[in-house]
Amino acid sequence: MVEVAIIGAGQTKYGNHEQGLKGMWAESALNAFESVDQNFDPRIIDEAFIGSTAFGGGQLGNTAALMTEHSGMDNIPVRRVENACASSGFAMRDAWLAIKSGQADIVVAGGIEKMNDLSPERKRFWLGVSGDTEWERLAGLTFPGTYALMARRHFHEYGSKHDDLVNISVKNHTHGFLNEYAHLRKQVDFDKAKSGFMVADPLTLYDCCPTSDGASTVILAADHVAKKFTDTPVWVKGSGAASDYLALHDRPSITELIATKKAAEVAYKSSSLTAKNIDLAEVHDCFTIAELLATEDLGFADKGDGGNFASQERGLRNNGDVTINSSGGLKSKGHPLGATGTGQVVEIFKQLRGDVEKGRQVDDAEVGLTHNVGGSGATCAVHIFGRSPND
Amino acid sequence: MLEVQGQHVQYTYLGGLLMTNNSPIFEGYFIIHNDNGIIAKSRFIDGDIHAFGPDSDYTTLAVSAANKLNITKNIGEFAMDENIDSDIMQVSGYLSNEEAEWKIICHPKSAELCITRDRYCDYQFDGYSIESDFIKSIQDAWIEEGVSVSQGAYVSDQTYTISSDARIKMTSQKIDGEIFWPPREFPHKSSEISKTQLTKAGVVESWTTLAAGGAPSEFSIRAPILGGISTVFVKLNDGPKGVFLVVDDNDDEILIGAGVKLVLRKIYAQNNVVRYGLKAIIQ
Repeated sequence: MVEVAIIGAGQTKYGNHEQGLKGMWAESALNAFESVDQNFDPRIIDEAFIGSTAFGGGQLGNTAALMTEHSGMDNIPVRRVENACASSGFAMRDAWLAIKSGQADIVVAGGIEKMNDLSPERKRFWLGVSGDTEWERLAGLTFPGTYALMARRHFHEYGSKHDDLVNISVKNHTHGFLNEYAHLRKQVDFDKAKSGFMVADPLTLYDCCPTSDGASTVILAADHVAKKFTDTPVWVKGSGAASDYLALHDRPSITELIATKKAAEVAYKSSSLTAKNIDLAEVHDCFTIAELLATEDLGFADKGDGGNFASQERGLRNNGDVTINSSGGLKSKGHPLGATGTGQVVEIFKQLRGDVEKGRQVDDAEVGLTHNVGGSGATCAVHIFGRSPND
Repeated sequence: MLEVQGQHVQYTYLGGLLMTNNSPIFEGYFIIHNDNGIIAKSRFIDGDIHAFGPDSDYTTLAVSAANKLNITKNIGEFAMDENIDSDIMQVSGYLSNEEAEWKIICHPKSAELCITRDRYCDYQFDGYSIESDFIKSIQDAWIEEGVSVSQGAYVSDQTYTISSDARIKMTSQKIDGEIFWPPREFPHKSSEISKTQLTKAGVVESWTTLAAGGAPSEFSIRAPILGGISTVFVKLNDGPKGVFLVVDDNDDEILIGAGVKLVLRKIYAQNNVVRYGLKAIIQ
């Protein structure tokens, strides 16, 4: 079976962009092309999968074709992949599958979102479109609300506290402060993060990720062609994905994401690795409670111990067994919905190759994981990467 | 926002029916009755008349009054005042029939109505004072909302109507003894799926209050006036779970483990039509 490598990866800075969709995608793609060690001509790309929720409706149909025409990837098969905030996590999986199937040798997975060129009211219109519209939305819930319900229930069942969430926020801002691609590059201390104004009780501003513009691009290659482009590829060692009921009330528990657990189970099995082998993980912290749940569901902390994991700073860079969100995560690096999944891969690619900015390197990084969640857990993609291919 | 002016209830007989004083608060309204009829009023007073709370109107009041009446009776059809949405009454289990023995008569100015076989009757309640400016702001917001609601996450009339039995009557599905609510599609023949009405009560398993800025666009005009909106995640007494808005005039602390009763209220407006659903009263 063919092994799949990443030979290049790049992104735009996340935040408020002066560029539109086309400009952001072109910049991201160029950064990815230029990250390939040997000269890379985009005309050799066989296929592309581009994640986007098409936020705002600016280019709802044929988004991917518009993107690739502005990055020298003319006339190849492309499509938009949409699974809410997990869109490009699934684009990554589709690209991996395309190479695994033997039908393509070089495939691009990417993502893009333009969120900050809308009026506040129109932005609000779009922020909840990926949740359960018929029941949750009409009960007043968008994602801050659904994650707030999860948080309060976790507090109740396991004794976790809002202070645990504050620690996650502080950690991710610490990590993101040094990341030149991050949206919110600012140090935030505990007292500041604890005193944010309430958004959805018990979640405050500092529990919530920002809305960001951004794009990210990953170039995947089959093992037999990867060596033409680099001596230090990053290998995709495992891929897993799963789904769950869209609405919280249809799930047996709201203190875990079944989609995460199932996706991780498949990814771990396909890579013959476990949570103990992971040196760093980019997890989907759209809200701080989401990171707490992810550390449990991915196996880094025991069930119910995610609060202690956070407060003991076991996910802080080079402070525990695993570094969680070395990029700053969605909280600090930002969350341009469709771009987030492959943006996580960009961070792992750089970390495993030792290419990050000074002070950001995770020591002895051999194996990394990405965890990309759609909405409140209706979809999830997990990937595991390493400096060496599977045996 | 809502100032408690006087605890209920002072009754003054004004003629018509002799009422009995039994549990005057029902589903969030002042409701008193005897065998001959019912008087239902909003708990709020603006000047010398009753005023509707933020998510109430004659339809929600009528449904509660009919529910109260049917605790001891079995009345399925009413002659209805034009202020009442007969479609919502029907989904709630009450048919409109101009020839029906029982009539629902709305007060022309005050937020009150009478269900009677005879003539309009009245009782005087003290209530909770509500600011005129607040009422006007909410009323204006409902009108504005009706013409400016979300372009992003749109619930069509058809989608809303398909689920109205489940949304308002709590109609659920039963398959092999297991209850499902809200209803879903199954790879089963329809003969294998029976319908059952769930009890409109449950227990809070989690809750949140969204600041005005965090509310979905459907609520973005009213939420700032209300100071935010609250949602409860409820385990229903019959087993399934659901999420419900808390009634807009709730003053009780929301706690995990608290009991809730589900009552009909206005949810939001779209295309100039009010959409109704069940909201939670904290017990």
